[in-house]
Amino acid sequence: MHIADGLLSSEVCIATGVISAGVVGYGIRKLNQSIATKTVPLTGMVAAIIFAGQMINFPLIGAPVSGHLLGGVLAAVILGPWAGCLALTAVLLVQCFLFSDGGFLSLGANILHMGVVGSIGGYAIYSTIRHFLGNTPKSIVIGSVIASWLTVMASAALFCIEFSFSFQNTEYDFSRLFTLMITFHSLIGIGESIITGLLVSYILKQRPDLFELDQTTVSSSQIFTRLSISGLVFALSIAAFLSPLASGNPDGLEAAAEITGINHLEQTKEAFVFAEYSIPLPDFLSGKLENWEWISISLAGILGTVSVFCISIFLGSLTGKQNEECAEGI
Amino acid sequence: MPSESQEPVLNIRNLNFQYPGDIEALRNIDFQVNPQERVGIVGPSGAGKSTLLLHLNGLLPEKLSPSIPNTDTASVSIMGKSVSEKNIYQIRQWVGLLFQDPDDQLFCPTVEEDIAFGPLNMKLSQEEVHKRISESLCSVGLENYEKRKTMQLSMGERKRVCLAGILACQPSILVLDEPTSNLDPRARRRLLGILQNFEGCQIIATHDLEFVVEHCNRVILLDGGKIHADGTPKTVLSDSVLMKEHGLEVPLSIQWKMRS
Amino acid sequence: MTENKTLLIKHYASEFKIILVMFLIFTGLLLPVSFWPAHVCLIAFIFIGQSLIKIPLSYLFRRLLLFLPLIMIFSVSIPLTQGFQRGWDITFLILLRSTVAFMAMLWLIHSMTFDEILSSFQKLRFPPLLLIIISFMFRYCFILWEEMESMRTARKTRTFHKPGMIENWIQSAHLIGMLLIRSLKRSERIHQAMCSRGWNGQIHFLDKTNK
Repeated sequence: MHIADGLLSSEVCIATGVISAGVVGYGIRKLNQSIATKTVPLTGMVAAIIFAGQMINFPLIGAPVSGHLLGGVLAAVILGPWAGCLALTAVLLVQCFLFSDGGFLSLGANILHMGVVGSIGGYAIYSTIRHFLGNTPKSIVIGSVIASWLTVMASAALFCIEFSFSFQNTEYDFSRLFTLMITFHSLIGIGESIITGLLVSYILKQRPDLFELDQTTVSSSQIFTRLSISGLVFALSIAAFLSPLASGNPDGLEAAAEITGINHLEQTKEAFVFAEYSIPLPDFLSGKLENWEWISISLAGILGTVSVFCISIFLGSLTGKQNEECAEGI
Repeated sequence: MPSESQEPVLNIRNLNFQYPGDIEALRNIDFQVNPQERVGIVGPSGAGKSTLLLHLNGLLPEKLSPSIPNTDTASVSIMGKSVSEKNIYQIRQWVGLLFQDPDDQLFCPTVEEDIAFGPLNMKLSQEEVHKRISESLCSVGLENYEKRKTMQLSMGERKRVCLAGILACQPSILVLDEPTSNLDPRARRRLLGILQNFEGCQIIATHDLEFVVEHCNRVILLDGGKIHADGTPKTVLSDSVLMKEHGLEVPLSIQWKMRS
Repeated sequence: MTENKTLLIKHYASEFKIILVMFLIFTGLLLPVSFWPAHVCLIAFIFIGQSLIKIPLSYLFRRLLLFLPLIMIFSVSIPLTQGFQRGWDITFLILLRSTVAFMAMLWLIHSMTFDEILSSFQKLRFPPLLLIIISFMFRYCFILWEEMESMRTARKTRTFHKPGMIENWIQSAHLIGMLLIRSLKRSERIHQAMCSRGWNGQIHFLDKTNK
């Protein structure tokens, strides 16, 4: 499930890393401001549960693969959006640096998908549904189920977008890849939403106090923020479904391009699938792509030489240290 | 008997407590503890022992439900200061609380980090903290355990590390919740030795009555949130009628002594 | 090398490792497919590093065997979507890049203990709140795992038939749910234990280097 290094280009890795660092940093500031000293053990514990829970397999009959919990929405439902995002960040960091599960440079993208979209986006959807369906146990379960499915879809769509920025899309058929990803992830999403639903309804039976059933009404500005965030996630997952259909039919795409008046994008050979959603990025990118290749090669050369040089110097001392540790361990 | 000249280190007056939506956990608790006293608190499970201990550290007042009328008159005071929002950090420095499950208390990956937690919260300097770590590990007989992983310790070692973590804060009152549970005889014996060496007031909630006979000089019998007896271990624990009534047994050592 | 310099290297060794691995992965990412010999050289270089810290070959092989098929499935799906006409470049590129990154990460995580990683995060100025949450999580996930295993065994002793898929799912969800409820209670107790040792929300770290 985690994005490995190599799937995304370095620019995308940096961009997603910056976004994730910003959101997580903001979340930490928000949590630091709150006086509740309880958040630290609670968040750590929920992170540990998600970590352990991801190792429990949910077998699929007739398939060699099995699903597992992702946990973004679960963490958000219990901890709230910010602490939930932080818990997922902790899980991903440990998975990356302890088990090399998920890439190092794509950590930013992973946090963006599972922490930011999964927890913060998921919480927005969950709380909006809860707000409109009323504060009953049923609406909590429904909210978390829908939120889990939508967040999985939105992350899949986000991944496709990131991927399309990573490789020149003259080389591959974006829309078909998109279709493949979305089909695959809608199944994963169903699994995730069933697991989350089962879990939430179980917890609801045992500890209803965790969900603050008699929660006072939220202010209208909060509702607006949640609505807009959930709208964003919702749009992303809808786009995930519509765009392959739309672009799979060239007439449809052309028609859409005519109508929105952006058919000049077609001529740049950067026929970007989100053209119909009028994202003006391809225009801006196309000019720079050729330069970028040279910059990237030279950068790679510099970085590579420097790091190889440094590692060669340090290897001796580092391995010595490792041996000492081994000796200590024995 | 407590002498009048000494100021009690711990003074509990008319303490009532109720968990939200639950029956009353503590009713009219009223007792004083003098310095150097070792008080054993005994009673069946669910008697309110742990709840009482949490009060000594000011860990529960936030949950005090307003439905209990006499919360104003109730007070817990330690070394002459009442347990309140204002004094809470001072009191937590004076009172060291050992929890029943050492895994609840050892939350850091390594032993030294865990022991350092208390002293660091007291804003001591790094050198002072390191000094306290080695001192407290020494006093519980675990020299050179600083770099060990908390996960890889045995149950007895974990308890002792917990104790070291508390001793590093240099408390004047030690409050222990079931210190001997889950320990093998050798680990129990060791713990007993460490506690014998601690000078200062100790309050110990336990089911291990032999431990009380050996270690404590005063026993409080708690059942249903009420104090039913308060006296020396010999007088309280040898009362077979009282013991049976509250789901306890006269310890074998006392039974043998009575027979012979 | 002077005394000072060796000390500096020892003091910052883990941070150097992390940053170097990051550079290596970056290098792999920045090189286009036409530079594939460079990728191969990088892989070979990392492999030498790995054998220097004595990562067992069988382990390496097993990890790669788990990792590469996943990447393969994804990267082959690119030519797959266009009838195997185009896109093999990308497949090849993804495979090269991810192998470089994966090998480099394996090297990193095997040359450092988790404590070292955590303390180097600390030196790299990670926010303390995140660090303490990570150390918490690391501490408790093992306890949770033990607890879960014992609950599983307890459940197995009372299961007298092979559970179907739906039953299995419900049971697994209940397992996690039970674990969650237990652990939330535990986290309350931990919070009490922390408070009893003077915790007021401020995070302090022990300076482990000065001894």
